[in-house]
Amino acid sequence: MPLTRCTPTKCVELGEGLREEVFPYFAIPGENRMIRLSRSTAMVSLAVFFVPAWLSAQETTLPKGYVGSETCAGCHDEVNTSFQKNAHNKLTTTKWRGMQERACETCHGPGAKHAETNETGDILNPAKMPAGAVDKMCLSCHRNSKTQVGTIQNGHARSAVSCTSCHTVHKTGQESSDWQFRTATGVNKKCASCHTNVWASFQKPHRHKVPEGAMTCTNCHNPHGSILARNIRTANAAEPGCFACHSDKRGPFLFEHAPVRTEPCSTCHEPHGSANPRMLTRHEVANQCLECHSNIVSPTPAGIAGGVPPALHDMRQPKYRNCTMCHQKVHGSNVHRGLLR
Amino acid sequence: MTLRKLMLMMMPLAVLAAQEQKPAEAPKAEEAKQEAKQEEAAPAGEKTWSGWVEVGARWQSDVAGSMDAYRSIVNLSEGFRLPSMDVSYQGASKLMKTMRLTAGNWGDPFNTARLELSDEKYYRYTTRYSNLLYYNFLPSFANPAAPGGFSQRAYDMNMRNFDHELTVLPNERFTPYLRVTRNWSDGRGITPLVVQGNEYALRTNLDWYQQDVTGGIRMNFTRSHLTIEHGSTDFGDSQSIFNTETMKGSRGNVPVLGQLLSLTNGNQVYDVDGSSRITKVLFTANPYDWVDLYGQVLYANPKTVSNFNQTLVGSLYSTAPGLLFYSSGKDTVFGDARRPHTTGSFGMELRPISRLRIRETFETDRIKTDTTGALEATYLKNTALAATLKDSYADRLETSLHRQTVEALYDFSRRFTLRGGYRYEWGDALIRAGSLSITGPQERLELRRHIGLAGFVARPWDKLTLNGSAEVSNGVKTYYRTSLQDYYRLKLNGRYEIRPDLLMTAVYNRMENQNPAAGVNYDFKSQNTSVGLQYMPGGGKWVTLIADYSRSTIQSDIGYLILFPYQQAQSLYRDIAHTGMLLADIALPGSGVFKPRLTFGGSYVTTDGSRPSKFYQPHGKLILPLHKNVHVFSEWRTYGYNQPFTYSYETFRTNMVMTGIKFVL
Repeated sequence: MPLTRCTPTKCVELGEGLREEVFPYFAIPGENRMIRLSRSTAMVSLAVFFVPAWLSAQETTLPKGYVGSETCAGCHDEVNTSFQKNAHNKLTTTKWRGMQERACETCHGPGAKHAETNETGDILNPAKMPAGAVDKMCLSCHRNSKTQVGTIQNGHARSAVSCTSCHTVHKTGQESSDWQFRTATGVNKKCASCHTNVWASFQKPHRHKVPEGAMTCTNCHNPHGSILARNIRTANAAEPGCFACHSDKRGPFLFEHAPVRTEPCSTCHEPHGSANPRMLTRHEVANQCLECHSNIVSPTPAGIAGGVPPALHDMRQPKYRNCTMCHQKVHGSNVHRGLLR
Repeated sequence: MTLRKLMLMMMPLAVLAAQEQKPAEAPKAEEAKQEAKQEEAAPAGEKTWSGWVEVGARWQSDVAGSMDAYRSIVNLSEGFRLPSMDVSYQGASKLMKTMRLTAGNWGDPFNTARLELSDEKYYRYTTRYSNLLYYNFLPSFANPAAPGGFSQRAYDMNMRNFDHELTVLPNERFTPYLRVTRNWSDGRGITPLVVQGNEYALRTNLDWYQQDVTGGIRMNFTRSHLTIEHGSTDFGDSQSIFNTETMKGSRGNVPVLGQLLSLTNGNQVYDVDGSSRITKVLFTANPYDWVDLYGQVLYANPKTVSNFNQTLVGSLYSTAPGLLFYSSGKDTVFGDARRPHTTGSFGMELRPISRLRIRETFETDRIKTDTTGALEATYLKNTALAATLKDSYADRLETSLHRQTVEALYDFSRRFTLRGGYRYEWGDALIRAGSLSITGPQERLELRRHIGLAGFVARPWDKLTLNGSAEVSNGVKTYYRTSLQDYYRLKLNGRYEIRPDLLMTAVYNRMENQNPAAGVNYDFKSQNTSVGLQYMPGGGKWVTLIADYSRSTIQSDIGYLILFPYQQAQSLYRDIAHTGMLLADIALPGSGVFKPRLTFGGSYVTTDGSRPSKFYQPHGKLILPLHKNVHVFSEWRTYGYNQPFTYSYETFRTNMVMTGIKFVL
């Protein structure tokens, strides 16, 4: 088939052989035609991306105010030695960050004045900076990564919990957070040091096996932020992270239980720990279900669910107090509208 | 024009990729120089392999009390174990520069392993495995007065997760990755088969799996990042219930209309096949120093096809017209369900002046479930056809939720930050919520919620940090009786370093939610107070002491209509939990390598209210280093659980001792 050349105004059929042309024609994947960009547009685009790269490549001397890492090492030899094994040491070899000779000053700022005066006030010390300023500094490199996409929805960011509250920067090997966060104990210990109330919930009899080290807090939460509330991770793209393990509850089902889709799992479940064997937010399943299925048709303003199906049972009989004994498919059923099987 | 713009966008990527290849030669010399520098810096005699391996054996006293409750909660048993291992390698192997293998609780009902291999110039590979045995058989749900009086759903499941992720590192900017995740469970259980007039506890086989295969590429630029990921999910669920002998069911010898009911042969087979496409696009950018942009679009379209077959043979009862008693019945249900789900968010942080940050986010979430199904049922009296039933279903559930938040954070000084903002949540849903039956009409619901946000961070002096946040909402419209309506949420955290070796933390959370509408009268309160103390003189060289106490309460009052007798009442639910935790680590007298350590502590939980219960788990551990590479340890644990007034037959208590050797590399 002949190829087609398209300009902004029209497409013209061409013969074979145009495949060898690379610029300014671009093949359209999946279609047997090529598109032409105007030469001026292409040149401007190239210039926009080439010039800064070329300029950064020309940068061989230290900018004003910077002294370079070797000067820092003159006094901070111990830190410098340990830094050689630090993940951040890659700054010294990563050209495109433009901080090769001044890795220390990437975080601590220009050090010329400090080198002259030896005053602590003349250099940035993240330990004494406001959390927002620390985050800004760390995120100037780390913002552009996959885990940071939910950063500004993150409760940590709102509560000014800075990156360095959890992550160590200078420490190396087994003392570094990078090392410790690769074990369940390391992660859980760090989270529990602030979230003491959550850790207390994990001492309840029915819980996810976090204290036992079989799971970590970060299995369910992304501490850097998530599109879901409470930093809950997502699974299968947009679903709550609970379905990563409890995939049988995901559906879709022929008969959905609407709140499973419209409300978070934590409406009924207390995932950290509960006195209920199914980790419900109420001790008994009847208490949980009947708060909604109350037999009362709510006198609703338009637009509110008034007709939640009632519980037409004699609740004096103990067998009816265990709703899920009959309504087994409470997350959704493929067989019965009443979620019986 | 759109295509043209796409091509224009793609061009810089091609240029950057090409640019990346050029300097590949140049940094090599620098890298070699750097490596040489690192080798110089490395301490002499540094180990290539490091870490430890713990092996041991556990002895257990008899479980006093309910074995079912014990298995549902603790489930540890006797025998040889590998409690933990953490072995790492750092060297110059051709295949890898670093390797780390961690594993825990092997031999126990929940074990994990994690392997990481990497050569930071070429690749990073991580695999994780976890295996959890989940047992649950607590008949207390059904009847506090008659343990075992009713059949109860029970599970004895094995849940496993296996993740692999390979990240290829051709250069700093383009990072392709491939991830394969498999999650599967199988096991057995008991399921009550409920048929009209009777119920039978039948055996269950459960087996499901989900497998995700996703691939993507991360593109990191100086001022932006883009991740594009695409993949698929496969899902299968196979369940069956069956009996092996004739059963009288829960009615026993009590006849229905003069006839005894029984089940000679019951069989249910339930098969679901599902699949989904997954697409993720994530981006971040800071085009200027004063603005950051964040965005993500997540899309999945899970679909399932289900087949259900049920065959019942026996003396069975039904209120269906013309049936009453029948000898066998067969149900077949076929279902098809699809649920496209799109989620997106866009956010930005503006920093017009150095002390001020303004954050705005917009989030949207849309789900639409379309289902169709068909039922065919046949009932026989002896061998004669008694009744047939055919039905078809078509259902739809739609929901959308949107949130827009604007928030400003202002640093008054380096010691005080104040924030305030506003969030508006709105959405709608189409659900089937029949007023008096499950087959009633569909209802269109609306959600409108205005939320005020406030918070502060104060560091009056270096050793004290106070953090507070509050949310106050006026819900104009909510979906359900118990949804968040008029609520406030308060959180206060404090952290005070009394001395360099003594740290105190405090957390206070409170939430109240009310829906005063007539017939609802919902009043929910939850409160949590927690205080912690950490004492580590000399950096914990000799003594470490960590103690926490938490008190949490839930109070939930809501209107309820009791049908027998017919009267309106207010349901009152109360739960008060006290939790105490202690961990002490003490260095015992010793010299040279022999420096034993004793660790002891544990936790105690007691709950009062609607269902009082107590759970305690004290433990102690003694570590005796015999050699710099060999330590002996011995650990004692006790578990105790009881519910003094309600389900006292679920009480249990057990002691266990584990002794083993820790080999240090």
